[in-house]
Amino acid sequence: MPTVSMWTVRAALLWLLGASALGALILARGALGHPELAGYILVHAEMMLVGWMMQLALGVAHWILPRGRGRDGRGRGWPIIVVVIALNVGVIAVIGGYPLVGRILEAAAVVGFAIQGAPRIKAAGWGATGKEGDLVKLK
Amino acid sequence: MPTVTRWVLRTALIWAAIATATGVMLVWPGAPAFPYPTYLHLFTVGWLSNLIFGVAHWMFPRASAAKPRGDERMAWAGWGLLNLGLFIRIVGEAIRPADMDRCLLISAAIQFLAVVCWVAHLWPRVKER
Repeated sequence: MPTVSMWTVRAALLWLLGASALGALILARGALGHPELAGYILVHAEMMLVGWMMQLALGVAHWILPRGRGRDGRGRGWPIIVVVIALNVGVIAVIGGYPLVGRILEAAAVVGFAIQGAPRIKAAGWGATGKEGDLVKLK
Repeated sequence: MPTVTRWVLRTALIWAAIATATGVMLVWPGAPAFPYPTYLHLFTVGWLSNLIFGVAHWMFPRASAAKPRGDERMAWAGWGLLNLGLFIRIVGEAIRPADMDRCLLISAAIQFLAVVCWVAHLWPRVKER
């Protein structure tokens, strides 16, 4: 797994933990005596859908899509780092009360990823090597 | 495909069938009302989360040569707790027993614990080659 995928998947897991904690509080709001927690449902959804699921998908796709030519066949490193930073700052902005800025950053991140990753969507080749523990051997 | 993954994916498929059947029920004329948030969580927790965890357990980089997929007891715990928590939520929100709030509190705690189990299980396998 390349370094950027490792950090992206770890960030996704952290968003999952945070979103689950918030979701648990929202679900238990009646027993906890805090009905106002229902106001955080959209924050919970943003963290889950973009912070967790979308980020996990991008991180795994960067790792596992067929590779092209070049040093590691995954293209230049900096665009994908910018994409991951934009996505995370976007989620933070949305839940922090700046939805327009956040959503623009999220959209830019996805478009950036699509431009960077599109050439790797092809019939032949593996992204993960299947060797040296990069991918558990499939049986 | 490891045993844990097979069970997690089978469970995901069952939830997917329940979720889509619930979707039919939501628009069926004269059918009893069903809470929309519960319907959404049948998809996102029952189907998507189980699917993601099951495939991640199968395909993520190996933890070590001796235990390629780490301590599988954590994965089993995550699977059991997640699905038990979701089931209790459905009972709490759809059937609405007298102690619904207590049901949802228990469900919330169990589902959060399930996520902690899965994250703890997968985290050491998210690594460079």
